[in-house]
Amino acid sequence: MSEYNVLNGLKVKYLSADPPNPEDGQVWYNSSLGKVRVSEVAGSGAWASGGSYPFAVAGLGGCGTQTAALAYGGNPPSTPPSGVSSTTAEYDGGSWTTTNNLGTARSSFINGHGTQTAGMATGGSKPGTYYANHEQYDGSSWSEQSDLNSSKNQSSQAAQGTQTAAVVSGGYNGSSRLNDTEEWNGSSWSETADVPINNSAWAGGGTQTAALAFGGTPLTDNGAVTLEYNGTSWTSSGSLNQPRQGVGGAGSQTAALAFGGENAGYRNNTEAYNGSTWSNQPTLANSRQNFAPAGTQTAALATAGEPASTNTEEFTQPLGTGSIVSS
Amino acid sequence: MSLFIYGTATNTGKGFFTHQDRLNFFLEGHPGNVWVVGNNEKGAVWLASKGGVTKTKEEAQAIVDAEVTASQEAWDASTDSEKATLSRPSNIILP
Repeated sequence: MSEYNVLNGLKVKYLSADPPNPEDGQVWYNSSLGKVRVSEVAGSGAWASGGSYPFAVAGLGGCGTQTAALAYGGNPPSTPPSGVSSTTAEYDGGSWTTTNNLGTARSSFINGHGTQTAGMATGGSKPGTYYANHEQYDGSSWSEQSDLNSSKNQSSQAAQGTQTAAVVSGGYNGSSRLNDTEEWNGSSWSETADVPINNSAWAGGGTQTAALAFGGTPLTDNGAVTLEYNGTSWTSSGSLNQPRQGVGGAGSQTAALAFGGENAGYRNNTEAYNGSTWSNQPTLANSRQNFAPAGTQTAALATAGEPASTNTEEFTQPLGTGSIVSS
Repeated sequence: MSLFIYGTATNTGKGFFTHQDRLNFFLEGHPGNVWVVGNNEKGAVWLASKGGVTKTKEEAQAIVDAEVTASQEAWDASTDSEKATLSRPSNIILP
């Protein structure tokens, strides 16, 4: 018989009351009720408008949660393309507020990793220049850290990685799509098992030891790809229903969300991943690619992007709590 | 009867459209503050409540085309290295 901690890498928590904001699929024991409880989807999810970003921008990075997100950099179309941005902004669930700038202005992140108070910006580019720069945000300002081993933009980054355990895979260096995997241990980057394909403009979710990467370019080869990383090696998984590049990602390796992207035009598709397959979800109102994603499968955020806009959208999947009973 | 209502309205951010709105009627946003709304009572009420100005499909498409053309011309005028940073803006056909 399978055991919960083997399947999920976690033990069932023993709690006196239901937790306030459980994730979809989270299981715990409620000692007051004397029951094993589970959080599960209850009703239809949908995208709603959120607070507008301070300016129209594409190619910005994003991380954090739906109510505490961070976005940085990008390429504001209102300026010449060479005018990449160093602007950083924090989202509180209602509005964006600019804060201290990145040390190095750059664009083409696809996504980021970490939280609003412990974020990371790795790689990126400006016209003619590709960066290995790695900066960390402490909730107030950015500080320069050890560079990636190679310069690249549009890498997949495990969105739930931390400032002491992150992973970056693939990307583009100006002449080639890459298959590198780089792990961050809090002080330096080291190359680990190569991705089985060369890919860029793809999204990511999960952690350093349970990462997910999906979508990418060229569309015909990589647009629908999904790969899982266990900290040691990559394995393939179920394909996206809608192949896309410049797609946004959020969530974990077993509960991820893919939204937006580009394939013969900007896309509004949203798909949910359950650890093996993708299923279609309600669409974004504003089709877009190369935007700042954040959040989880049940509470995600999509900010700005191409076509140029300031639009933010919030995806919310209502969750309920039920007891598990034996049949 | 047309399936959609077309109009322009400025996205004011949080609350401009809600989860319930998305469940009540079709809604798509496009460049130029163009919105395509399901042609039902709730959709029409939403557009009116946002100070929306209704357009014909042709008028709405022309607004989107003008926005896309301007961004394509800016992209075409950029250098090759600049073009590598962003893809050429795509044409958008309203439903």
